[in-house]
Amino acid sequence: MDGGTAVTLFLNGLALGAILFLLASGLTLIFGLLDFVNFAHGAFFLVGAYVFTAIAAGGGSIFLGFAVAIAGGAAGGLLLERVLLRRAYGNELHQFLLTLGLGLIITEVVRVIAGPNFKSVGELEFFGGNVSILGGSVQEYRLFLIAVGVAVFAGMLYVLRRTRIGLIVRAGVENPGMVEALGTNVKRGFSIMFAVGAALALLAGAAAVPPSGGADPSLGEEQIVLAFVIAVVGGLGSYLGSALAAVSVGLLSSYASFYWEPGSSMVPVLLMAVVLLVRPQGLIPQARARV
Amino acid sequence: MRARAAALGRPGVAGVVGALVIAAAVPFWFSPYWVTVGIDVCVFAILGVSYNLLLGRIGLFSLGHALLFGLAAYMVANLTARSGLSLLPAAVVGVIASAAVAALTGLVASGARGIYFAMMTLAFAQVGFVLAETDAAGFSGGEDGLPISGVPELININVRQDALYWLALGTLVLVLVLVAVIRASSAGRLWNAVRENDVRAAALGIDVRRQRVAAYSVAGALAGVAGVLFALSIQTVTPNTLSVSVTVQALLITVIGGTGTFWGPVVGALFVRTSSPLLDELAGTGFVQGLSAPLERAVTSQPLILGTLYILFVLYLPAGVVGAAARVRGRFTREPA
Repeated sequence: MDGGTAVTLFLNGLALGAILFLLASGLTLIFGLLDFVNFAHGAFFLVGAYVFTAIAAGGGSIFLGFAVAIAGGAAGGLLLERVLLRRAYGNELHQFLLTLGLGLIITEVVRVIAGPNFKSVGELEFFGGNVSILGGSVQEYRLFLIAVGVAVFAGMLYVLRRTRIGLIVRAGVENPGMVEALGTNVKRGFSIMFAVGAALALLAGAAAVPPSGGADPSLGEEQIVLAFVIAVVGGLGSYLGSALAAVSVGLLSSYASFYWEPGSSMVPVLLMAVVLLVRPQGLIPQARARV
Repeated sequence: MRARAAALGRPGVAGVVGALVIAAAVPFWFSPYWVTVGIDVCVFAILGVSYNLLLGRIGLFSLGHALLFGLAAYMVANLTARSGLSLLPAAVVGVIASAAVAALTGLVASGARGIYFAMMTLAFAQVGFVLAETDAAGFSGGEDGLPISGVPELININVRQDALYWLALGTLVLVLVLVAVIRASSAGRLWNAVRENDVRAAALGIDVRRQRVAAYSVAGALAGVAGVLFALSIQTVTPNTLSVSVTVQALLITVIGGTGTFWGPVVGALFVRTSSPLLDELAGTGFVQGLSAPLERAVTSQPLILGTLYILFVLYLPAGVVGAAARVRGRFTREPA
């Protein structure tokens, strides 16, 4: 492997890590803050991918695609939390079943509307070219993905640690009864965090479309397992951990697939197996990470 | 039979024998297609019984049951097709392998609680799934799967279905007897104690971790039995037998039937595994074909109907079919905790 190839693989790995981070961070936030296991997260991702594909293939700008995905995810997440998922707080098995059923329904509805086959997004005008960096060559879009990943990571960290809503949610996780008694509406804080997690899932689905060229109804089932793998590697519920795990998996997959084609699908589970055996609490355990 | 009836107590010996006679007579009444559906129901009832042992007995929420199911299936295919072993020893090795892997992974995962146990077992199962799909170990034949060979004509599903059905049904009965014995044994009581309050159980001197590993190993062996029968019924073992969807089936069968109830997994398997062929049947009727296209799709779509049912069960019937029926009759098939 020469230097240029190494750079290319590094940047591609970072871009993959960015998508994985968007995917896993929503799951991790909802689990870490609300103790809620969202098995419909993969279906949310799927909806994001199809929303983006429909808009971009119809000639809309990719930024419109991202905006609609984020707004739709937030609205949908808020609604679902209010009418359905709120009833399962405190019971992991019920959460799992409710969101599993929800995921099946969402996936089937997508399949009915969009058809069972791969849907191509067509040629994209923005960020379609390649850039040369240090002898390596990388798609402009992948650099954009890395930027989005970094921006979302920093933005969420700021919200959680420095804003009022972050404070309410963190306090609500520690002791919801006390926060309520002090006159703050914890439930609303939880609803908002759920909406944020869902919006991140749809954003991840939208962001993953251009590199793969389109969307497929089986995406959700593939992504939900990957999201859980990254969440476990990072440390369940640990936001910092999910970022570290996503970047590690992205980079390792990128280099592994250079040497061995199935390497990219082996890396996540092998890494998870090693982490579980050596460090079962994950790379950055939630207790240490605080967020 | 007497031990079983004594352990069951409630449903009544006559009812059990009657149901068994009806079940055994299925091949005389139904077409070969429905007999294969019957085999599928028995296989998944055994898998459900195994899962219920974990979730309902000792209170472990696993997402890795597919590993124990698929491993035995792959062992049978591999040993018969590649090593030329005959079916029975291959099946025994397969079941032992599942129990052993359950013991090993259980040893690692049993320190974790609740959703963490689920995540760890999911992790192990996914390792198995990816190994099988990529054929990295040269063990599985990759995505095409591995055909089983050396199946005697009598239980070869391509030749005749009734004998394999009776074999599956008989195995299910044996498995239920075993579970009835476990329920009545001291181990069963220890597991109840661990499920209800593991901290108190530990304080009373119960080695909680050891009991969890023991329960997981027994569940692993039973899942292996289901996996062997499944391999016989599909003839070619594919990576799907190791996928999360198998675990989800086991979980749904358990919950819909009634977690912790004796008959729950059987009722759940009957419900979940016949739903797809029944919906196919429904789609062929004149009534449904007269509906508009979206409506036709909606009433015959398994994901839509099952997904809605899961949600309704969690919201309105958390005790499952058997649990709700017991409450309606005012008699509890589930012993007080």
